[in-house]
Amino acid sequence: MTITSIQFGVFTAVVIGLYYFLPRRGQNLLLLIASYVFLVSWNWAFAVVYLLLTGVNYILAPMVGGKKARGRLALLGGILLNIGALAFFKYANFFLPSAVGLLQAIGIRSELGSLQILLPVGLSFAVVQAISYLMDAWAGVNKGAPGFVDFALYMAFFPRVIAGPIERARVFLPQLQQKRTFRTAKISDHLIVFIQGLIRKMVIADLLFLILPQQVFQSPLRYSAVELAVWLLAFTFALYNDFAGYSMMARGIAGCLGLSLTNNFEVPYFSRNFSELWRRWHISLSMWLRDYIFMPSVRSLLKMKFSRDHLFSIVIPPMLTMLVSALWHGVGVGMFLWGFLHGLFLVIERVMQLSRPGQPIQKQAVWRQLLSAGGVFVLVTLTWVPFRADLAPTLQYWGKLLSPSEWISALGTPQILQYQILNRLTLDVVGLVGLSLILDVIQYRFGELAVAKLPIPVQAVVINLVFFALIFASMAQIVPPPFVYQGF
Amino acid sequence: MSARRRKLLLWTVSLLILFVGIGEVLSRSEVVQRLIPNDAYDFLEYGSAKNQLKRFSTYVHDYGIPNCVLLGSSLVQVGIDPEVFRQALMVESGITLDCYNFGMDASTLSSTEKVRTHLSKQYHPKYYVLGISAFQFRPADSSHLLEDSFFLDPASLSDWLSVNSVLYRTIRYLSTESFPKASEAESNADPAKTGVRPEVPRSFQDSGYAPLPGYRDASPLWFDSTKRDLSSTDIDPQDLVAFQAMIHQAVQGEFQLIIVQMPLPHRPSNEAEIIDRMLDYARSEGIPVLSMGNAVTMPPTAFSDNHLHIYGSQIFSAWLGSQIGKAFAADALDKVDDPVWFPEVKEWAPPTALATLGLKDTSYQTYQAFLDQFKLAPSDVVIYLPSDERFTRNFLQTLLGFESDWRKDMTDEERHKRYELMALLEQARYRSELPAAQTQRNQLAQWQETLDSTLLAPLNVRYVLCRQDRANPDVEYCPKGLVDSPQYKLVGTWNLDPLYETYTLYQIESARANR
Repeated sequence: MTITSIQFGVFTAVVIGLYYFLPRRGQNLLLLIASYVFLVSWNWAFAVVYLLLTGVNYILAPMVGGKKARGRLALLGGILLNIGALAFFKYANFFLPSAVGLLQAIGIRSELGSLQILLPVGLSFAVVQAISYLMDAWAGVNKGAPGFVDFALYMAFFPRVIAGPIERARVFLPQLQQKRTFRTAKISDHLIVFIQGLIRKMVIADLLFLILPQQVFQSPLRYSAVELAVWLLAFTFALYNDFAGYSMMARGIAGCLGLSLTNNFEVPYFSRNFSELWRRWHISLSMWLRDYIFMPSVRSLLKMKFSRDHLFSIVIPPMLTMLVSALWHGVGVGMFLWGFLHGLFLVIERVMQLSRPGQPIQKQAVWRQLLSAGGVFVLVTLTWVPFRADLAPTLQYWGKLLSPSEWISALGTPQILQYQILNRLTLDVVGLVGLSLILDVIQYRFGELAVAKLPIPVQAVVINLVFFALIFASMAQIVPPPFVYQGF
Repeated sequence: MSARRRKLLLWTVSLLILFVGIGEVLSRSEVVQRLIPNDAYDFLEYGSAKNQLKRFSTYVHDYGIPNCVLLGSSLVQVGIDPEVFRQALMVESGITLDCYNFGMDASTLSSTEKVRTHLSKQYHPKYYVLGISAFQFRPADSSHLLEDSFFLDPASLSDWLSVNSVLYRTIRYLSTESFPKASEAESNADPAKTGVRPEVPRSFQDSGYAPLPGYRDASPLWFDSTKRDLSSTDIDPQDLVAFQAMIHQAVQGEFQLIIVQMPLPHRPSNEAEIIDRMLDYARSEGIPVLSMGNAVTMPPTAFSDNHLHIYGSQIFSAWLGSQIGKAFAADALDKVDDPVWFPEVKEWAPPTALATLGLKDTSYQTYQAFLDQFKLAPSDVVIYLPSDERFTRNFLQTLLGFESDWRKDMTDEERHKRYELMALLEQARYRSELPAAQTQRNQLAQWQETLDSTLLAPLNVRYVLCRQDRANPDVEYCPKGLVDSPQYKLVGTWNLDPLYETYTLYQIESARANR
């Protein structure tokens, strides 16, 4: 059951219909049951994995918050256990062939090669939530011990279970202590957020993914430099709208249930530097990385007497943070390169700030801000290549895309206008990217609920346009593509 | 609900009705219809059904409703020529059955029954001839997914809209046209990019028949047909239900159903069990079944792969028409155990078109005129084909003849190329066809080694025609050194679709000098 399906719409409507008739505990129990029904609709085994993970962390948390030595051991054990579970499900398929090869090299025959391990949907998100819960327990910032139902709901809350946002227990669990009422839920506001997410996912992301050639990141040499530029732009906006769309839909549904989730995206492609980018892109993960990787590494270095402007302090925290982020996304040289490059960008940015201290970018002239935003956007876009492809195709992609001679030869072809620029697919990309930018500008200038402030006849026109756009988009595809981040 | 929300709802619904109304009117206008051609079938996902439904509509428009429909998979679509079938049946029975061939690629019994239901509701044809093979009963493959979304179901809102709302169809058309799947757009733009061997082109006829022009690498001539065995005797429940439903409707008297077992290059393992169960069931319900149980397998030269190519389909269609004609004549349609349904076939008669090399009479006259003008090789010399005989020359010529007449998009130049090879084959002689004196045989054997052209002169051989299988390019039918030998001059190469092999003509230099 995918979140854009009719079945999910009916399922959610039934849950909301029952929800507001129940007392507080009943509401939480209903949500937990609904969350596990949702997991079972993917695969019953996923529900078992979530239940085990929830149970183990629920048992460990009080130990972590207990006596110091025992707590440290429990924390370490808990983190290793969570990471171990993630590594098993997420990376086993990557390492199994090598392991089988190694065993065969030493003369041991193994049937492991034929084993296929299914990654439970959203497990990466659940694991980092569990780790944050344990670490907060260790730091003593969790507000009291939750009941098992509440904690299990924190781990598997169905609107966000596929791909986040990554919630903090100290923010999410207190909301479960209040009874949610229909009157205070502001359903219409949350429906606006949900529908914007639906537009981003179904109209922009799905249509871009539909026309994106499957081979472009595997065999980039088959395409001209112009085509590579167009398809990279398409992927850049498809990925953003896919993930941002999901996050908005999750927030919208949670909001209809009277629960607030973290806003995961705030027009990231308008960022004027890389630090700002990570405050706008996948915010809940960025905050998690900041709190549990970046800041602890800074503190460790300070404890080791390295000042803030020491080379180690400049390089290690951002680089480590981005490499952990890459590892969280997946294993592979391409993903490592993606993390390394973003770490490098942050390091360079820090060095530039130290060498030329001045006004923050937000206070500089508009043209400078635009130039910086353009530069950041180009670099971010280029790093999506290793995010999606292996190392060799990445180098081929960059080589061809950035080669002046490729552009000269492509643009020198008389048919360039007809076949590579003015063709239907390019116009599709430009149109959808334009739509994404329009939504971004509206969100940036007027907020997510801008449409609610319009006169009623205009609102009615917008609702009709949305209706037709969704019908149009749904007709273009038999099976909508899955969310990219549900694979992480 | 607050007054503000009520107002918003009212505005939204009013505007929706207004937009839909305007859109519906505009979509039905001549201008839009001309710009955006679409009909109810355009929304079907199952391409084979969509194309066949469109062709069928055109056929009905041009020729009227046929009284008979041939149903089945691609085995039927490429394997039964309605015209040959009609003629053969009329000869035997005096009855005219105008059949439309509604065979569909990758069709299962389930999709066939959906088509049959639709045709019965809309057109009420009296006769259905269902060609079946065990492959159509294989346990569920993905084609059921397509089928589920491929047919017009009045109970479904989407299907109802696609039939009744031109606006809906227009949006659908614009949507799929504007956002084609990248893979499809790529393959349309440049077939070479896909790296997949282009399919042998078919010649789609008005009657739905779509013959394959010849044989290819998957032909049983090269390919081990046993590789196409069925993995189990399981039958897909959805197909079984569909089969039973079709038979049930026929038993109710809604139409006359005749089931035909389609020929295959060999009977796959497990096939007999599946097909026998199905056929026995049909007979037990009183449905006549034309069995191939007592027929020898058709020769491998009749097949392109698992499918008959045009040569084979002409043989089979004539036989089928004749056999069903006999059943009509014997009034055996309700006598399922009549011997006419279990014919014994010891040998398959060649197609009548063999006499004119697959060409229509007028084309054959054109070909004869072409031969009079043909100058590539003088008519009094022998062209040597240095390989064992695999096909009769007549068979090869007939395939070329069929293709040059059937393919509508063929240019005069392409047709000319086929006539050239047909003419060369006329004069060509296999090793076994050359004079059989022992000394001359020895000379030919020596020639294979030495390539000495003087050894061929006493046999009146002035040209050598080499063939190379495209399926097995490493097999040498011609001596390797011929290409580089100064004694032989390359005249031309013929690499034509119906023959999955390339022919190259060399002229012997000494003969050239003499002339």
